[in-house]
Parts: sequence; structure tokens; C-alpha cells
Amino acid sequence: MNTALVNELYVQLSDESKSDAIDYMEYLIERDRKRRAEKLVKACEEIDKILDGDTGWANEEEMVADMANFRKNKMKL
Amino acid sequence: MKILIDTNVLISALIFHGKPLALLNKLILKGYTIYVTSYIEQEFKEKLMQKWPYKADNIYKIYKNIGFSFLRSSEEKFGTLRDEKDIQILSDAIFYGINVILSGDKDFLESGLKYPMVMSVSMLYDYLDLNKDEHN
Repeated sequence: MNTALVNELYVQLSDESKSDAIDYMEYLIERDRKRRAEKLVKACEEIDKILDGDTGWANEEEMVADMANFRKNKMKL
Repeated sequence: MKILIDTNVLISALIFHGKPLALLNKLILKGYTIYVTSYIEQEFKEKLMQKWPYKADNIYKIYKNIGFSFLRSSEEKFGTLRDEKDIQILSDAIFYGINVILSGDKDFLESGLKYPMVMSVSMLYDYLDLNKDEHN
């Protein structure tokens, strides 16, 4: 479905139905956002299962420093 | 607002979780678009291979399924930085009109860039006033 079709359909609606359509689209936007957020959390849970407690670095600070060196080495700096 | 996440924030969120994951979650719920570039994805993939060679592919597949907005890194370079290592990230951000680069790298955070802005997780929390949601 493209924007032109949505516009074509929208202009045929009564004012009351336009308001309902907007409410419904807002509901769908909210639902999509929740689904995306849930997907992110679920992905993290799956990664946790795979790593089984092995985070790879002692802490985040160590990881950030490691990534900075990794990038420097890649760029031969 | 277009937000580009640096590799270190991506790893923080996916591996360590905590505040970085909570921030990404909030950004998604509030309708902000989160971007990654091919350069960042490649770096992430290489680091996964280095750290967990037998698990890297599975982790990468799970990451790809999250669906962050993807940008192909530009071959041209834009902008200047004292710390040259982050030039590709800056360059892509400028090329694609990114508003905020989210990074944990101290040198990048102290680069003094005004546009795009470079922010840490805590800085973006404050900038978008997201802390208040947690107290309500």
C-alpha cells in the first residue's frame, strides 16, 4: 500500500470517519513500536542464552576501550 | 530525530544490557529511528568472530532480526576529527543527516562536534528527558 492510495481512501471519508482512521493509525503505530521494542528485548534474551554468562569482557569500560583499540588497529592508526 | 548507534553502544545493549538497552527500548517506544551503518555492522561482526568464533553467526543472525534501520557506509569522507579512528562514523552521520551519534567512546564524546552531536547513553537520556518517565 502506498501513500497515494492511503490519501485517495482518506479523502473519501466523512469527518467522523477521518477521525476514527487517525485514531486507528495511531493505535497501529503504537502497536508496531511495542512489537519492535519486544523484539529487541527478546533478541537480548536469546543472545544471553547463547553466551551463557560469558560477556566477553570484564565490564563495559573494558569493552569500550577494546573497541577503540580495535578500530584504531583496523585503520592502522 | 535520527540516531546512529556506535558499535560500543550496540555491544553494551546486546551483551551487557543495563541502561543502553533500556535507552534503545525507550527510543523505539517513542518513535525515534535508530540507525546502524554497514561499517558498524562489519565491526560488530568481526568482534563477535574474535570473541565467540563458534557462536558469532547465531548472535549476528539474532541481531539482524531486530531490524535497526540500515545505512550503507559512504565511500567519501566528510568532516574532520582530531581522533581519526571515528571518521567513518562521523562521515556516514553527515552523509545521511544523522542528528545524534550515540557512543561510549571518550575521545569521540569529547570531540566537541555540534552537528551531528555525539552523546553518551546518559547524555541522550537527559537530552530527551527520558529519566522522568522512570519516576512516573
